[in-house]
Amino acid sequence: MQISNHKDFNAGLLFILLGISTTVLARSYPIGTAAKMGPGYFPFILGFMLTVLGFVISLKNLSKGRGVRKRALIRFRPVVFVLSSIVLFGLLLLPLGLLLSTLLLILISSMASDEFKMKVAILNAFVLLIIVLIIFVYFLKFQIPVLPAFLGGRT
Amino acid sequence: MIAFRKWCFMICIAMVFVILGVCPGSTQEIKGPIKIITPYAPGGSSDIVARLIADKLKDILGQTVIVENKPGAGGRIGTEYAKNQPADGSSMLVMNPALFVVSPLVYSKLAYDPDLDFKPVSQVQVYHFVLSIPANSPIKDFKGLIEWLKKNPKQANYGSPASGSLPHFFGLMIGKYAGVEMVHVSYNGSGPLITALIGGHIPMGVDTYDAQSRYHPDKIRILATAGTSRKHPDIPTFKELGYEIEGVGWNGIVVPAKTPQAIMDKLSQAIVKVVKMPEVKQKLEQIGAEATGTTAEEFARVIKQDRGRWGPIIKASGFKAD
Amino acid sequence: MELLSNLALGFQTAISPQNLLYCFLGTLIGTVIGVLPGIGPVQTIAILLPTTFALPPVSALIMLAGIYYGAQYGGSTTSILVNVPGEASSVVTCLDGYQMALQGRAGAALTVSALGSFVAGCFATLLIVLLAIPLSELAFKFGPAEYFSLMVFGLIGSIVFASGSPMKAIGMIVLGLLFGVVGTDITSGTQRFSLGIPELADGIGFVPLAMGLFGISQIINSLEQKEKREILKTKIFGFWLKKKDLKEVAPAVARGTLTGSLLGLLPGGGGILSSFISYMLEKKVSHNPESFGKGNICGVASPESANNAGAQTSFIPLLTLGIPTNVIMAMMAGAMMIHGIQPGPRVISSNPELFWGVIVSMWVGNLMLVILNLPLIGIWVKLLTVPYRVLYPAILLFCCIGIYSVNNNIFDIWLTAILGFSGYLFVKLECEPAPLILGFVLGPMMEENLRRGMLISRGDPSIFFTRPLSLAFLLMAFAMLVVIAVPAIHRKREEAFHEEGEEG
Repeated sequence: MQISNHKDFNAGLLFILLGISTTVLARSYPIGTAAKMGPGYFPFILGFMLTVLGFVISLKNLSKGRGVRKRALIRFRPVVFVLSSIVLFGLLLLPLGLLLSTLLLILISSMASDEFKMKVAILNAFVLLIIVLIIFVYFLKFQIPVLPAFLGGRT
Repeated sequence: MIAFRKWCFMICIAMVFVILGVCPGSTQEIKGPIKIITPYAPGGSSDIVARLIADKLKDILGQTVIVENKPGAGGRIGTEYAKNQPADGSSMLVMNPALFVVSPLVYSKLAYDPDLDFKPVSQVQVYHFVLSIPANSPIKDFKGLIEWLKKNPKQANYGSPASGSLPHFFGLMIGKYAGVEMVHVSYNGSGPLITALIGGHIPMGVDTYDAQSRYHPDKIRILATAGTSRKHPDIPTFKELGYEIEGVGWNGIVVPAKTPQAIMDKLSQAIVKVVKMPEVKQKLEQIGAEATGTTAEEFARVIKQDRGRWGPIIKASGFKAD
Repeated sequence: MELLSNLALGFQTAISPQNLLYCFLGTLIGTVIGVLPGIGPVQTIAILLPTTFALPPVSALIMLAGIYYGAQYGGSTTSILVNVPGEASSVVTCLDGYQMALQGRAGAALTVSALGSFVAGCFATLLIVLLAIPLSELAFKFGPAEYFSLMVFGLIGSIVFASGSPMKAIGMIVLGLLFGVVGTDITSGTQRFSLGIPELADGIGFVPLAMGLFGISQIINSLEQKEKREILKTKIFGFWLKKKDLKEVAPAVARGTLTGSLLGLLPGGGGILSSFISYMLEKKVSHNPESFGKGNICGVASPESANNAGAQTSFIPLLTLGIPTNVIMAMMAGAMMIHGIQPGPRVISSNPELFWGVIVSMWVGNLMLVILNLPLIGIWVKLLTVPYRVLYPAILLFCCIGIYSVNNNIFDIWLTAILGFSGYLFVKLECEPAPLILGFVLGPMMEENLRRGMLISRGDPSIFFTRPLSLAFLLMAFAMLVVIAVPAIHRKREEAFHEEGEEG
């Protein structure tokens, strides 16, 4: 047995996993009858469908023939830096305010690139800060704290 | 180069932790602008009430009054947020029966307790519920509707703007008093409900007077209103028709429970004064509501009365949100 | 000629200096927030709504309307240039618009989306003027059965969004339907799959979903492989359309405009649904459907016309019946109510200057937008020469700020990060996100109406087959299924023969 297409096979596995967990979770809601469908009815059917689809996709790629070995290229640097910069922004926006959290977001996310240069990133952060302040804070008056909370930062 | 980058990153992270460590100890002091929190998005009735009051309150109290929208989870996020605001009179919340009367009964875990976390200040407005049918229906009045329902029990469907809303339970109340088993069909707001009603896809709808009255009488016929007195000179109330059914929704102001009594009294008086202003009263009437402006005691009594009225119906319906 | 006097009144109102100014302000703000990813008309209108309470109601509505349809113009720009939807309803524009940019035809793509939007805007305005009242009746014909069947039709059609394996596309649709289930169940009020998180009670937001799956994951992927960006920098062809393009695009714009105009009338319709359905239709009627997703100009023209038309006709139910069909219309209703105007059929007679003024202002606004946007195209294309390492942190920043400001809630930012990671995973597994998004949009309406229909009919499914409109949609869905399945089966056979031949 050989896996002919890893991407398809894994996608099938993902569908099976999500399908089964939905089906299980959906059981905790009343299923009801066709005339009076409960909140569990629709997700239960969907979960079941997804599981079946997942099996079909995975099994189709479990053939005897020699497979095209298609494996995805994964590099950790972009994923880690981009995602952590967003999470951190969420964590810091309220306590630190817009100014500092923007600076951090730009710096950290810039590190995701192979062409990262500290100077460019800092300059970029300042330019963007000015744009953000003009458009969102001054002009559109978004309800976002600008200064850190400990400096009495309110919108 | 790589070492330099790593170093930069670590500095950033370190900065974050240092600042995070400083934060909790340094929350701001009490005084500041007064804010009226509305747990819904701008443009709805709760928001309009908040803005009408804020606009006038600033003159009476001589302080800036701002409106803060904290929408989400049917108002529960904003309510929880308001509960944790400073209890010094600088935070108020626009409240309604869905959050104060219904939610505690249908959620097993609610992030706030209406009685322990808040104190009522003043009820601002009430809105009447109505029962309406499409205008092209052969049914002319409420008595006729009941006869029709008894003959066609399979078509006893009524729509409401949301599952678990007061109109939902009010429909059940009507069914109970009329001796008909009513099947609830929920819609995603008043708009879709009215569209379905005018299109004749459901025979009856229960909603607020202001949502339904926009079409009266060319598209939608309101059979009865549910207040103590008539909302429209030509439409009877359920009581007049001999049915002991009454149901109104409201918007009122509450504050975090620890707010000192003296501040509460001051706020309550100010709000009553605002609501009684002819201009405010007129604006509230224009959007189909009725301005009340009750005292804090009166408001507390209304809440208690509402629990007595809706509680049994909600429990009997078996409705659970989680 | 009552119509002429009405229009005259409308013009008189719309071109008063004050209203012209607010119209311009609205369209300008709309364009800007449309271009900025993550920030769309929903949160902008919500935030600016209170400030318009100080304006006369006509000016307020003119400005807010301008923001809404202005955003439809701006949204496509970001989709085309950086493959990140600038606005929710320009998600589909990414598919072919960005491919065009990669081929050096960013200018043409931008031009066609601006012109398409303009044509659609003018047509939709005309439609409102001539047929607003009869058209508004159309929504009444749609009961649960009709909605359900329309959604089935839409879902089956959405398989065409797949450019790879159709099986995986179906899987993604089902996954999208499941994403749509999260949150408060409309029929029973139950919280489903919300994992005890109150923020999830309203379901997964469309903005975090679109930004996560299309924006964030796109950024991560571009960073992994930088060669693609280089092509973009090297060759940029002319901005203007060739004669051949114009000929090809004109019918696509017409179809998009018509689709958008009709779907805008329905509750839940508006820009997003219009753009998806029109793309679907366009691919179906096209002579070379395989070129879609690879830079087909019609794949930009049609959805961009549709979203603008849909945005404008969604005003019809509000202005003529007082029925808001989407969140933005609900806020418009709020803007009217704060001024003591009850939205509803009486507006036309009680506030004719408001009704006709707002309508005429839409035409004026569209004119302003096209004048504003065409010269900007040159500048936008230059944006491509900005190094990506400077551009992508900016996109991330705008996404984060925009997503936060929808509900003033931090949770949405984290949700976007999670969805961004899922999107990245999907790309790695070669699963396309577009079918998922469509499933997400259609799913809740489909479930809601299925259950409502069965509830009303007391469990008798014949309700879906006995109503003519509903039956028509189901038959169309079936026909589409046959059209999709037959060539696939055919191809399978051919392949099988082929392999046997080769093997022997």
